Amino acid sequence: MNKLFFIFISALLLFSCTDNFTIKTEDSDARIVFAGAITNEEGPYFVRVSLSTPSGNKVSANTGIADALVIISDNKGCVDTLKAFSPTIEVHPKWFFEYFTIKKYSGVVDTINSSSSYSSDFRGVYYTTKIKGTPGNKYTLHVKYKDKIVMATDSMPNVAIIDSVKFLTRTLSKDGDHFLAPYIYFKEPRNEKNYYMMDFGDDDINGLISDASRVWSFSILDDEYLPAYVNGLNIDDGISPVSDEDFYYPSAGSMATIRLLSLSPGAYNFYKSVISQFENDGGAYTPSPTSPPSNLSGNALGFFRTSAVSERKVFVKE
Amino acid sequence: MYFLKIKSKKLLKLKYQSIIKSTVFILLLSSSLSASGYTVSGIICDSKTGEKLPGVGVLGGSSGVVSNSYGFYTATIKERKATLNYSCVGFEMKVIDVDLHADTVINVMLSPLNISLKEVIVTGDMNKNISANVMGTQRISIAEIKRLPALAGEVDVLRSLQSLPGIAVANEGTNSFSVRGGSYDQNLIILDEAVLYNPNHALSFVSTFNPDAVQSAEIIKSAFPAQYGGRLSSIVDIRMREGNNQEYKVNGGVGLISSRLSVEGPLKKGESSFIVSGRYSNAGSIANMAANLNSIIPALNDFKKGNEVSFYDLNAKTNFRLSNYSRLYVSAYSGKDHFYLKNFSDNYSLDWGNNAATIRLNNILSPTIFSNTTLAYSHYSYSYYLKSDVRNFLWKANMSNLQFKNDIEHTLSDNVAMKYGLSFGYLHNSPGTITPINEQSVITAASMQNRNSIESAVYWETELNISPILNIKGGCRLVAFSSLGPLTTYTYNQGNKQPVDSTVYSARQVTKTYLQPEPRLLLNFKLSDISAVKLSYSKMHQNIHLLSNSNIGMPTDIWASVDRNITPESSDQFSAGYYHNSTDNMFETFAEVYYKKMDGVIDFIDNANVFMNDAISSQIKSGVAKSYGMELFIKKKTGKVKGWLSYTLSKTWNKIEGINNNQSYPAAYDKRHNLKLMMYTDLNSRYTLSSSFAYISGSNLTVPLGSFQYYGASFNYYTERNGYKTPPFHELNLSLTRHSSNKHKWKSEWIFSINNVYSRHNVFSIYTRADKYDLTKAKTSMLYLYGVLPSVTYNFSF
Repeated sequence: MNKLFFIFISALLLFSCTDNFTIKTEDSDARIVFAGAITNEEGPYFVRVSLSTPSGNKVSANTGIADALVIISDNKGCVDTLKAFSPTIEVHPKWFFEYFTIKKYSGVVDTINSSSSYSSDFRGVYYTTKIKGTPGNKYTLHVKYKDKIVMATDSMPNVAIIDSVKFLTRTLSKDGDHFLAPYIYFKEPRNEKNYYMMDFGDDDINGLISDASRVWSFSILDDEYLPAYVNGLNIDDGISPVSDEDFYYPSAGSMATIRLLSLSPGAYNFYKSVISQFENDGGAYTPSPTSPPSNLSGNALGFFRTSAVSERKVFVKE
Repeated sequence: MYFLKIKSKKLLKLKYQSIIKSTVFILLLSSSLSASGYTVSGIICDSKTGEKLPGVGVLGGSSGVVSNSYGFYTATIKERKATLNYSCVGFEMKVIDVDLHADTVINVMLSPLNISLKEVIVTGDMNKNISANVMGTQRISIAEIKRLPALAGEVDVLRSLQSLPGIAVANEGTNSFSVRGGSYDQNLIILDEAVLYNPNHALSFVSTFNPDAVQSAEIIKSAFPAQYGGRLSSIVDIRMREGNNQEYKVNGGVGLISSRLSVEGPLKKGESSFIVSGRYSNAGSIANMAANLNSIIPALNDFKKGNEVSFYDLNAKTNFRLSNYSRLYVSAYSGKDHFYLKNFSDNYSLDWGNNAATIRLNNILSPTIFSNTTLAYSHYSYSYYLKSDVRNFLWKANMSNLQFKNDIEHTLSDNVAMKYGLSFGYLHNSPGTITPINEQSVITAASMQNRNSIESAVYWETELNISPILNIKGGCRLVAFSSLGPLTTYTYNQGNKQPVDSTVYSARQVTKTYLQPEPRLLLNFKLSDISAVKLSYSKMHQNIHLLSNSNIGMPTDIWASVDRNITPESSDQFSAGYYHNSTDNMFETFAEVYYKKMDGVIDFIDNANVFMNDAISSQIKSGVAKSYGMELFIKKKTGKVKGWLSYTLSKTWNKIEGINNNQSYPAAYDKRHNLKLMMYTDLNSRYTLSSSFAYISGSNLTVPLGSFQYYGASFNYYTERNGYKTPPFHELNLSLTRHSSNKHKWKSEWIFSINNVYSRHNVFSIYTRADKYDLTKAKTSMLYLYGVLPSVTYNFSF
C-alpha cells in the first residue's frame, strides 16, 4: 500500500502538466516576409514575398503579396526585375497527378509535381528571368511594397565537391525499420571557413507556397570540427530541424539527388536560429529566444540566400 | 572627453583620500574610546549535543555582544558585579551572576527548548537585532526550516531562504535565486567556508544541502562585513553540524525525492565529535515506474522508460580539541548528479558534482583575540554527453579553487572591536574539452584554453560604540585579482564578432591584474533598547561570471574568469532600515530600503554561440543593472502561533549596449511584489501544523510577437528581451507533523504535506513549439509544475 501511494505521489510531481496559452501583445502589425535563394544551378530562381501573422490571430494569415516590386542584381551589372509566377495546374492525362511547368533559361521545359493539389496558391511567388548565380559574386535584393522598402545582400561562397555517395543500411530504434541512408565523401578545404547545407534537392517552388506542409529533411554544418577528408557523412548529420528518426529518406530503387550547398555565415546563422526554434521553444531551461537574424532591412523577416551547389544523382541501393 | 577623464581621475583620487582620512579618524577615535573593565570570554555550546552555538546574544551590564560562527564570545564588562544573559532562538535563556576581579573565561551550555513544553517564556534574542551592527542579514536555523511546509516533503535550505525578503527566483519551484536584483551567480554560497559553484541537484529543484547535516544558514544582502567578498549580491553561509560530542545518535528519513541517514557521536566524550551524513535520490526509477504504469493510468502516458536521474550528497565533519584554547575542524562534502530524463531530452545526459573540503584551526590567542585559520578546497566538474549517432561526443569542464584565509577578531574594549585578516586563493578553470565517444564520431577532439588566476585580499574593519545611541562599523577590503598565463587573448574589431589579433602569454605570466578597493560602512542609531535606524554602504567586486543563457540555468553553464577581455563586475549598494521589537520581544519587525547599481553585468548577444567558443567574450556584452526596493519583515517569535510575514516591493532592469537594441530591459526575476506568509503552531505535544502562502508577481519572458512562413514552415519572431510579463504566482501549502512520544529512545515523525492546496496552475514556463509533422502550425503552451501535490515523509532518530 505504501509503495503504491509513493508511486502515485511521485508521478504527480514528475508529471509536469501543460495548458494551452494565448499570448496577448500590443504589437500587432504584420511584417514583410521574404524567402528565396540564388544558386549556381540553371535559373529561373523562385522567391516568395508574404506577410507575417501577429500573435493572437487564430487563423494563419500568411498572405502572399502579389503586387510587390522585386529586383535582384549582382556586382557584375546584371539587374533582374522578377515576374510574378502563376502557373496553370493541370492533371496528367495518363497518371492523374497534378503538375505545372516551368521554363528553364535554356528554354527546356521542366515538369513539376504539384505537392498540394487543389489549394496550391502561388500568390507572392516571383521568378528571375536572366540573373545567374556564380560563386564569389555578390547579390542584392530590393523589394518594394506599398511604402515599405526591404533590401538585402548575400555573397555566394564556394562549395566543396562531393567525391562519391554511398548508401548504408540503418535501423530505426523506434520501430526497427530498415532504410538506406546516403553518406557523402568530400575533401574539406581546411584553409578557409565553410558552412554547408546537405539536402535531397527538393524543388524550391512547392516549399515556397504558403500552405505547403512538409518535413524539412536537410541539415546544416559548420566545418570547425570536420577533418581534412570527410569520410562519410550522413545527410542528417548536421544540425537538423528533424531528428534522425523522423528524417525523410528516398526509397530504395529510386533515383535520388544528393546535394552539398555552401552557406554564407549569415545564412548559416539564420538557419541555425530557425532550426533552434524547433528545439528551443523559449522554455525555462533554454536560452532567451530571439527572432532569426535576417539579412533583410526594414524589420522584415526571412532570409535572402545565395548558395553554390555540388550535386550527385544516384540510384538508391546498398 | 579628455577633460572628463581628468575629472574622473581627480574624483577617484579624492575618493581614496577621503577613505584614508576617515580610516585614520576611526583609528584615532578607537584608541580614545578604550575603557577599563574586565573581559569575559568563552565558548557557548548546546548542552545536549555539545555543538558550538553561533549567534547567541550575550548581554551583561551595559554591553551586548553576539557569539561568532564558532560559538566564541568576548565581552568587556565595566561593572564588577553584573548579570550575564545568554539567549538564542530555540534555547532556554541562561542567567549567570558574576563578581569580577580579573579577566574571566565562562564557557556556557544552553539547553534546547523541548517542543513538548507548551509555553516557555523566552525573552527572545535580547534585542540582538537592534544592538548588532549588521543589516540585511538573516539567519535561519535548521529547526525553523524543518517546521515549514516543504515542496514534495523535501526540506530544502536554499528554498527556505526564499521565504525571506529581497530574494526572488525567475521560476518558482527552483533554487536559482536572485538577491536584490542580482543574477544568481552573484551569490557566494559557502559550506563551512568552501565555495560551492553549483548548489543544486536535479536541474535546480533540490539544493545540495542535506538538512540532517546542516546547522544553520545565514544570508547577507547588504552592509557586507569586510571579511566577505567575491560576489555582488549575497553571501549565503551554510554551516555543517559538528556532531554530538555527548552520545551516539543515528537519524534518517525516507521522503518522496530522497532518503537520508546520519551517524554522529563523540570521539572523546565532551571533547571531540564526528558526523557522517548521506542522502541519495533515484528519481529516475520513479519516472521509470510511472512509465511502466502508463498502460494502467492514462495520465502517465507521457512517460518514457529508460530514465536515469539520481544524485547523492555525502557530508562528514569532525573536530578535535587541541588545547583549552585551540580546536581543529575538518569537514568534507561530496555530491554528484546524473541526469538523463527522456521527457527533458532523449539526446543527451548531464553529469555534475561538487567536492569540497575545509580544515580550520580556531585559536583563542587571548581573552580578547580570536583567530581562525582556514584552508579550503573546492572542485566543481560538469559534463555533457551527446548520444547522437555520428556527432557523438563527451564535453567536460571543471573548476577548482584552493583558498587560505586567516581571520582575527580583536576586542579592544567594550566600545571598540576590530576584525582583520587576509586571504589568498588560486583558481583553476577548465572551461571545456570535447572528445568523440567512439571511432564513428565525425567530431574531432578539441579543448578550450584553461584559465588560471590568483585572488588575494586583505581587510580590516572596526566597530565603534561612539555613544549609547551611535555605533559605527567601517572597514575596507582590498582585492588583487590576477589572470595568469599560459593564455592566448584575442582582440576584436569594433562591432565584429571575429577576432582580428591575438597575444600569447607564457605560463605564470600575468596577463592582467585588477586592484579592487571595497569600502564598507554601517551606522547604527539606537533610538531605544527596542528600536534602531541603520544606514549602510557596500562596494563589492566579482571576478568570475556564470555564462548562463537561460532563466534557471543549466548545470553545464560555463564559468568564465575575468581576463583582459572579460571585465569584472562591481556594485555599489546603499541601504537604510528601521528595526523595532515589540510586545516584550514577541514581534521583531524591520523595514529596509535599498538602491543597488551593478556595473559590468553580462548578458548574451542574440543567437550567441557559446559552445566550445574560445573567443567567448565576443558573445557577451557587459553593461549596467540597477535595482531598488523596499523590504518589510514581521516575525512572531513566541506565543501559540509563530511565523513571519515578508514583503518585497522592487524593480530591477539592465541596460547593456548591444543587447535589446541598446534599450533597457527588465531582468527575468524582476518581480514587483513578493509576499510570503509562514506560520506554524504546536497543536499539542504530538502534532505541529504549519502553513505557507506566497503571492509573487509574474516573471519576464521573451515570447512570440507573431509567426511567419519560410519554405513551408512556421517560425516565430519575438518581443524585445523579457518583454512579456506572466500571470502572478500564488499558492498555499499545508503540512502536519506527527511526533512520536518522547518516552522511547526511538523517535520518529511523520510529515504529511499538501502543496498548492487550491490547485492553482502557476506558470513555470511558456513555450511555443512547431508541429514537426505540419510545420505551418505552432502551439503556445504553459507548463505548470504540479496541481494539488500531497506527499509524506518519515523521519527517525535513535
